[in-house]
Amino acid sequence: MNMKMALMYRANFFLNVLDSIVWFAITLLFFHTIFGQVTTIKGWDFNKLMLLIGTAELVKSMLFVLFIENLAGLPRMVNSGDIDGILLKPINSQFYVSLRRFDFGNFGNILPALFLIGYSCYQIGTPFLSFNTLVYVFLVLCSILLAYAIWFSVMTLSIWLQQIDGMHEFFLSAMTLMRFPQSIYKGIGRLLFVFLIPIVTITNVPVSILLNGVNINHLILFIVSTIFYVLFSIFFWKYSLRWYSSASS
Amino acid sequence: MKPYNKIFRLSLQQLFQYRMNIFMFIIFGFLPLLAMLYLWITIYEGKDTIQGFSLQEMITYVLLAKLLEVLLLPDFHWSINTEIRKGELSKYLVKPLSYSRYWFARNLAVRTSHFVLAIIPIVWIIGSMKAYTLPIQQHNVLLFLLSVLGSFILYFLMYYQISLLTIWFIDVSSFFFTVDILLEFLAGTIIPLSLLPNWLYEILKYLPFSYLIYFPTSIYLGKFLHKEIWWGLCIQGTWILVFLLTSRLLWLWGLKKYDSVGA
Repeated sequence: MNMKMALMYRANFFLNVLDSIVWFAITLLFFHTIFGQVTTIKGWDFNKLMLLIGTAELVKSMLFVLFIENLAGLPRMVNSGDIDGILLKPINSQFYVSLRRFDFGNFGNILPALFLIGYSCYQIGTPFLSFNTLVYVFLVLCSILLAYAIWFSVMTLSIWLQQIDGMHEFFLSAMTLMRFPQSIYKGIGRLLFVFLIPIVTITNVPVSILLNGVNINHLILFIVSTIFYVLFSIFFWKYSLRWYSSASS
Repeated sequence: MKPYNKIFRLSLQQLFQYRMNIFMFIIFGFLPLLAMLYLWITIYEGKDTIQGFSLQEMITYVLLAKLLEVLLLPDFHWSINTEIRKGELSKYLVKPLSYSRYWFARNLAVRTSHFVLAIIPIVWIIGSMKAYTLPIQQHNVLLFLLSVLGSFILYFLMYYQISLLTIWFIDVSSFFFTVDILLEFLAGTIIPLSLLPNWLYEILKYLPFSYLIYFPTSIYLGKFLHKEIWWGLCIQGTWILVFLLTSRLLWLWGLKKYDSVGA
């Protein structure tokens, strides 16, 4: 069913490809210009940064394919009461509201991201098949889960703040932060987006492990925080729903 | 002019009902800016100037460019897109209104409301970045304002024409995203255009995009000689005239197409 829907919008798919090509060209031009002035930014040269940006784009596209159709409309679903029908279904409600529909149009954005990752790995000289690569792939999957948990929690929060439906704008804007090295963030920005809402680590941890080898502390910390945020999102969702039902009855 | 005056006031009232939402959108819209500020501060570590820009100038540029974007960048193309797709264009055709002037008035209201709501966060950001920004500049204030006005009209005309494309290509919403990021870059909102490769910069000087953000911002920073400012204003004015003409033609041509669909 989902596939059929997507094929109906073939034009949309190609427009998405066009969109990512334009994005791709602009990003390259931007960093080409900056690296015409400096050789490294906090130890990141052009190729390493491209690897980071490619990873960011990959995670973002995967998130969009899986969740954009579902999570963006979540507050509206709760406010209009449409969610009651879902709660009655004998299925985990969080699972269902998160993965009802896929947006295949965004698959078009994955290709340039993969190309960017492959090309920069080739330039840096990272072997394509190694233990580090496997850890990287595993961590990217973790990243998607972590980002999902944050996104879902942010959207759950908007059940509480009924008047504000811009919460998903917050998440989408915050996602641009993960395109840059963790080390550029200082002060309050670091506190907020590296530790509290660890959106910057989503790309930085997998990439730095791919570049510098496995750092067991970082690895464990990352996995633990992923589990923590996923559990938090589950708990927060259940708690908010209890509040929701008691409020409406 | 009277009906448009009313449209402006009514739209403004409507918008302020959603002030909290708009406010949140503006605040969150500043997050990518935060990353750019961190990036520039990091790049300037151990460097005094980059292509004639000091750190203070660069941060001021980035902040002012963003401010102008909040003030000038239209978003009515989404509404026009929905309207045309739903066939609601007809309701304007029977009214004694000009479609473009109607949207110009509404756009003015939206931009005004955004500006009013954005002022507090912007003043706060500028205040907290004080160590990194230039003191308020005073050269060529009038010419700066003139170029901002030109940019407002130019932005409107460009987005108006893009919106009308909906008449021919029904589902252009993904295309709008592309246009948005392309224009943002070519306008110089992300990076001063003079930093780009020289051949590209020379071309961009004659295209309309750089007269949206880069041109006014650079006037404010005192990057242009008097002669260059006047020359730039001429180019900006020329593009406005060209787009006035093309948008009129596009509208008339589109109406023919729109009628034939309905019949």
